[in-house]
Amino acid sequence: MQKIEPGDAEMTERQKQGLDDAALVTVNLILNNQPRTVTVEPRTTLLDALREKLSLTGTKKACDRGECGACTVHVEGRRVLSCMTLVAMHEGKNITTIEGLEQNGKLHPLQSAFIEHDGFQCGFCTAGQIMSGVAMIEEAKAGWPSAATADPRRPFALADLSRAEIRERMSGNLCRCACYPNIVDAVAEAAARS
Amino acid sequence: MNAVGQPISRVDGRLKVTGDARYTADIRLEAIVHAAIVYGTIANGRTVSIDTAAAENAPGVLAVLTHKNMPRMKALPWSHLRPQGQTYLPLQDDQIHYAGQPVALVVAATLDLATYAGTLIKVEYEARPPVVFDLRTAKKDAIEPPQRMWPLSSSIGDANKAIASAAVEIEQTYTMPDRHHNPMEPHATLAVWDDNETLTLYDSTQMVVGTRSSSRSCSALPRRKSTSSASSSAADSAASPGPGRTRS
Amino acid sequence: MHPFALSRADDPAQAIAAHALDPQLAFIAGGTDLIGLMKDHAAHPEHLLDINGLPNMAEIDALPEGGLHIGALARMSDVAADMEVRRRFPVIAEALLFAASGQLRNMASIGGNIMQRTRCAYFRDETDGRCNKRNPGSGCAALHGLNRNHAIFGWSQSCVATNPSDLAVALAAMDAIVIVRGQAGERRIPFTDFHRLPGSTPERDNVLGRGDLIVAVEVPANAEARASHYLKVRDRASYEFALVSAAAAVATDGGHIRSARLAMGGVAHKPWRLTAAESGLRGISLDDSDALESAIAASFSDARALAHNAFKVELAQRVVLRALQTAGART
Repeated sequence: MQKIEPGDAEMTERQKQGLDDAALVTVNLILNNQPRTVTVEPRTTLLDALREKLSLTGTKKACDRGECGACTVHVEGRRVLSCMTLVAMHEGKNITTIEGLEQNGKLHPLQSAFIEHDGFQCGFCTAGQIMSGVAMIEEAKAGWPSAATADPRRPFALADLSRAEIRERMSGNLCRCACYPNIVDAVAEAAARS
Repeated sequence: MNAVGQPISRVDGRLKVTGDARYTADIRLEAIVHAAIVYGTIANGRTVSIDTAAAENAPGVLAVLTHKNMPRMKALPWSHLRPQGQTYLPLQDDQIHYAGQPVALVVAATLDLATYAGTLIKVEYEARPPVVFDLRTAKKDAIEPPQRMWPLSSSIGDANKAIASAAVEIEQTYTMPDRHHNPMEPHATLAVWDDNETLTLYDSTQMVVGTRSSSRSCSALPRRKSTSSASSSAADSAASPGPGRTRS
Repeated sequence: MHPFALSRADDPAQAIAAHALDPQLAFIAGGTDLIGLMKDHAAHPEHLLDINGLPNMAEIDALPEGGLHIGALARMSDVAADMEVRRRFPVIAEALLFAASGQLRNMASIGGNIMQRTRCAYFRDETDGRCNKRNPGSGCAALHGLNRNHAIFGWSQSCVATNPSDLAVALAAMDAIVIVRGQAGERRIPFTDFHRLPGSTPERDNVLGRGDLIVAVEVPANAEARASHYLKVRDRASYEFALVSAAAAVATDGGHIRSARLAMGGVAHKPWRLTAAESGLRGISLDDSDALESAIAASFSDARALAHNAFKVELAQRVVLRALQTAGART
């Protein structure tokens, strides 16, 4: 095995990882409106790049398997699971994380609504819930139906976003602390205010 | 208590909705290495051999620990990690007691490197039939354990008398789905040596004192007097954020 | 995940040639199935080719004759939200909406969706080792194991898993066509021929070979599509694979069925067309439950249950009936 002192600041990333230059890729992102660059192995997920390379730990790793939604971020404004995509596949894309929702010290309406309606306990799923909810409201405004929509042949509008619709659209975000009713309240309020 | 019944926002609300709440795995230090556990694939038996050569030679790997080279641990008289009667401590011998029991620990520069190196470890097992526990037949061999922290049986008032004198008696069976006392945060532990003698353990724990006392079971750790700080993480769902931190 | 190289394809010919040349190369679009398989150590491509940049492969076109042309790189959520898909083929929109989660639907491509591995829990279980899909010849743990979620049609001693794609069920019912480009040029594969039965080679889920790239799915216009519905039954209300599901479409004449299309999910290694039921339903009134049930039952005479999934035989027939009645109400 290698004799590497982990604290050796002079050592390059690839030396620390014992990898050839060729094994790493450089990826340019627009992250929360800032240009950022990372150099990673191709297998690095967007989630690991955000947390480990870009020091944005607001996005959480829970299942790491696309089953819980805690890792939800936006790519070009769309909600996605960052654990199920490779950072290297998002060259040049706009990425928004939970840290990017607040603007000039002012919370996003959904963030405020989560506090107001107590939409969390342990808080671990919260970033994913909020990122999912923000994007979901935009999907509803764009007229997207859901599995809860009785007749998808008809147009859908934000006003049709019932509690049942919210639950279905948010079903990709699990909450073990079972804050679901309060989460629905928060999303419903933010949707009404949007 | 004029806070009771009032719609008060959580003091940690802003931290949690902005991603600023720090959980154990969120701690960023100058240079962290990562450990990945390799889990056994039988439920009962023993490991006959563990071939770690390929893992040791994999890129970025700093150490591979198995029961062969793991520091010795000593079972403490009682700890919250060791329920009554249980003597198992991880990576101490070749015995497999349950499905998914750790059989190796890989330490590497990144989690991806550690996890992948773990897949290169070849374990040979001698499996025994899994133990099937049936309370009905096992009950006759049950023992009454000594009381530790909580009373084994207690009563307040006289329930039978109260039921007998009640105006209405309802007998019903209610079933509900399984509920796990496990918030979604995967448990993490960060061990930081400040110098050769001081270890700070950041842990996902509801009981910082318990973590500290359990850590004393490992012979490789120093035995100096300790201090510990009292913030806790997601395991304590109502608490302020921040991992439990203990220093020894 | 294991280490791999990643590159980007600029044009289909380049992608096809690369895939044909290197058996260790896999296409990646949304990655929502492939990355999960790699994390489970069930797939180990040494080279991933990102095909998201291939031009003109994400369109959703409503064809003048009444059908659809859907590019393989179109995302599930975009197809489900498209008004022409919803009006002309509601069964397709619903099949998409009942699948996965909002986040996954934004990521997953149409081509990738129909390429999802047919699998069961044992396929993902690295500890058991008996899975003919992962390790050809190792056996099938589900055959005599926990097989509640498994097939009742078309299974073999080698494999009893079911295809997880909801979209595939709707496309099978609609007799869609998979447009594939390979080294020998373009070909059109009828959807019901795209996925395979397990037979003795369950490691192959579909008829594609090296160098094959799905470029689009075409859904021709048909008489039944407008009055169609997808019904999915599962243990949870959302975000779970089907126990059983049904795609139903019907053309009626004064309340009587002129023609019907029925396909099922959760019951076989591929979407299961109920051709016997489709024939038997002609002329039957949508109000005549007994006659409807009788006609549906004709497609279940060859159902073979496993130790833990006999309930599926009855459940499936009821799901078909309800889907048919809902579809019928849409005429």
